[in-house]
Amino acid sequence: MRKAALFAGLALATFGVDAGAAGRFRPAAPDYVVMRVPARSAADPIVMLEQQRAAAPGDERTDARLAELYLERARAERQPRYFARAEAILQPWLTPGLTRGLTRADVSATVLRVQADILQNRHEFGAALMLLDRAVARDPRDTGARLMRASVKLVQGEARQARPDCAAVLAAGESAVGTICLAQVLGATGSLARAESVLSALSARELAGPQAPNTSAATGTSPASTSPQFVRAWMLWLLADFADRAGHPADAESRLRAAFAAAPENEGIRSALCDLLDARGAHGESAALADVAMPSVGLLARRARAQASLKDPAFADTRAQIDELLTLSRRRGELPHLREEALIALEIDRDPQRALALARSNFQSQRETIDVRLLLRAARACNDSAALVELTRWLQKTGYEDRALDGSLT
Amino acid sequence: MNVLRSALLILLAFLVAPRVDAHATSSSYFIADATHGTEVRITWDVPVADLHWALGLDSSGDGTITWSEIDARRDVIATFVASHLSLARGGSACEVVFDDLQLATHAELPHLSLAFAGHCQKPGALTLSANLFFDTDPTQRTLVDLTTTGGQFTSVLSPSAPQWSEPPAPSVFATFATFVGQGLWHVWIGYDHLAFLVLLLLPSVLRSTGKDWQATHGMRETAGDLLRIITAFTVAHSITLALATTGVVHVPVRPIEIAIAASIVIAGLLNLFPRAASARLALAFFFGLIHGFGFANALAELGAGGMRLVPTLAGFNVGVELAQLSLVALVLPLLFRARHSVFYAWRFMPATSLVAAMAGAAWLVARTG
Repeated sequence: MRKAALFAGLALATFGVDAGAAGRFRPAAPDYVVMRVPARSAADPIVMLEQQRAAAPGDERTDARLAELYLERARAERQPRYFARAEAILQPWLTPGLTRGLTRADVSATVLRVQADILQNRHEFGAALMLLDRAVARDPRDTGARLMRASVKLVQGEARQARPDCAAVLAAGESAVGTICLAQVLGATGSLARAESVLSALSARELAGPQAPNTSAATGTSPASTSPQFVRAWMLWLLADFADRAGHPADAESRLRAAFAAAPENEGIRSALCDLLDARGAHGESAALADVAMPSVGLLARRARAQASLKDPAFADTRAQIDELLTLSRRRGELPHLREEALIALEIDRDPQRALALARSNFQSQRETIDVRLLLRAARACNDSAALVELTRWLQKTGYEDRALDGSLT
Repeated sequence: MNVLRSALLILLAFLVAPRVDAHATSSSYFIADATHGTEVRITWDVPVADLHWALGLDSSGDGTITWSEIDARRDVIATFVASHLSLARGGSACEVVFDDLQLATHAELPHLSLAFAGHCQKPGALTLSANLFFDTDPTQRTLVDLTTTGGQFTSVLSPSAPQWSEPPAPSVFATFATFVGQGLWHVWIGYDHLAFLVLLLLPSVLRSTGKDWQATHGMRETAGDLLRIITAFTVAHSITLALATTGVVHVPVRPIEIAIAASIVIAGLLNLFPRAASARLALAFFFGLIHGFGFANALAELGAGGMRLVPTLAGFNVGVELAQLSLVALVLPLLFRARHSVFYAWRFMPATSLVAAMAGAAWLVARTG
């Protein structure tokens, strides 16, 4: 009734909840498959360590190793329950009742690093860096902690701050990893061409050589993300990013396709390929590529964008699915999906003002290629000179290069 | 050194994996209805993946969880889930009894939907703890939707805040007072109720002589006429408001909205004819019944379903009466002064009635459209 709006909040606050969306039912067939689950073998190192932990609880090394294995599996199987399990295992080693970034004074470097990894995965970069700083302060030769710190700094667009850590990794004898780390720093600090040649040389050397024996694959227990295939994919992805920013989208696409072929389960690579395809008008392929089971908000956004361009009637469903996930995430009290929401506001909902606000907040914590471009496009769509000036200053300060930005700034 | 065998490289590779998304993290959905005396009806939708983690649901070990594997262990599942639920009302614990098991889907993930009945010793404020999987999963959340006699509530339970307690219910008097306000407000912003009332008021300072209007003798005659009309309207709408709000009668919103618009058209047109003045009492009563259903719909929209019925209904009705009386107090003195003038009887009243009738006709068209 027309008066309802005026009453809102006067007597009772009623919330739109998902309670009715469930569609409860009782399957008629006994063999109805409710869910597929990975088959577990007794030789699974996780199962073995869990048993060991149950038999002799309170061992920090067992817990740290087990948590690390859960993180590997969480990423390989895209199963966040394992992240949660890792966090639960580390719980006794964290200072109770305090911020999640705090740990006991005597906790091991592995616990610090694994907990930092959990935090950075949740985009709690500040808390993650705090733990990594502690790990490095305690042992400056902790290359694992240094490498993770460098990676977080790179995501945050603080490439110069990542350089000493990359150099330390290199100096510790990890020449390949150190080189990749430094190539990323070069790529973000005004030496994109050098970054490309350094990484190309490394990948040519490494990838052209004989196939490394896949030790973990032999046991059949290791997740895909630790396999050489994934590492290959990851180097190709970096090279594709360099090519894209250097203004060679065709090279970028062929590298990304190779990366995708090597690691089809990786959502980042898939999303980046969708972005490239959409940019050159291949919406059909992009929509198909983004159509996966249990998609993330990011992939759903790509699918919705391509469907909108194709005037596909399925667009409405995809858009509704995005809203359902975002509502759930908000209700759970999670950090907002700023990058994805900025993309949705800008390229799907065509709401540049909202997109700019989101892209600016996102830019505070993430400064990868897509984050920089989203901010630029949103600022241009709003004709917001203050935002453009801010971005220009950051580009000048860092030397960050991206041909896609050329001519768009003052 | 071969890059592909470096443990550090593997570590670095991990860091570029995308962020974990909300849909894949674990949420259970807890819905409870505590408006049926001392019983609480509960539906708890729990992720199958988490139950599998805790109980190992793939008995055959073939990599699929089938309905028969779940059904065979329904009691174990129910006991496990119920052991993470505690419920109390008015300070004493309720007995939770498993009732039924179904499947549900939330955010594309399979959930087991467990129905429980909470048998409580007494009604009263609800206290709830639903901490399933909180010990093994710090990201687990229980999304709670509750309906109690105090209203509707939503909450999110987490390992750091696993409990929910119903806020103290407003007193009977507070509820009554709130709904007096609602009743007043509803009439004053509800232009259709106001229009109908004004149309009933306009001829009350006149007396029909058949073809013509005459001014009433004095306040006594006017007030007497008005008292009868307003009483008829009030009695009628109180009857239907009570019948609809208690659920004895159910009438859909749309026909009522249409009938209310029609009542304004009819009342407006009848005011043009002195002969029809005798029909006003019947008109007030008949359309009073209709307007009562309109009030009931408004009350239902306030979400008053789960609230204490008596103070709610009484409060709302008193509010409506007060609004009516305030209108009379405001308008009647003016009409009473104007009643002797020919202009009032043959210009002002018919013109106002006609305008109201046209507005009613417009609403009628809009509501049937």
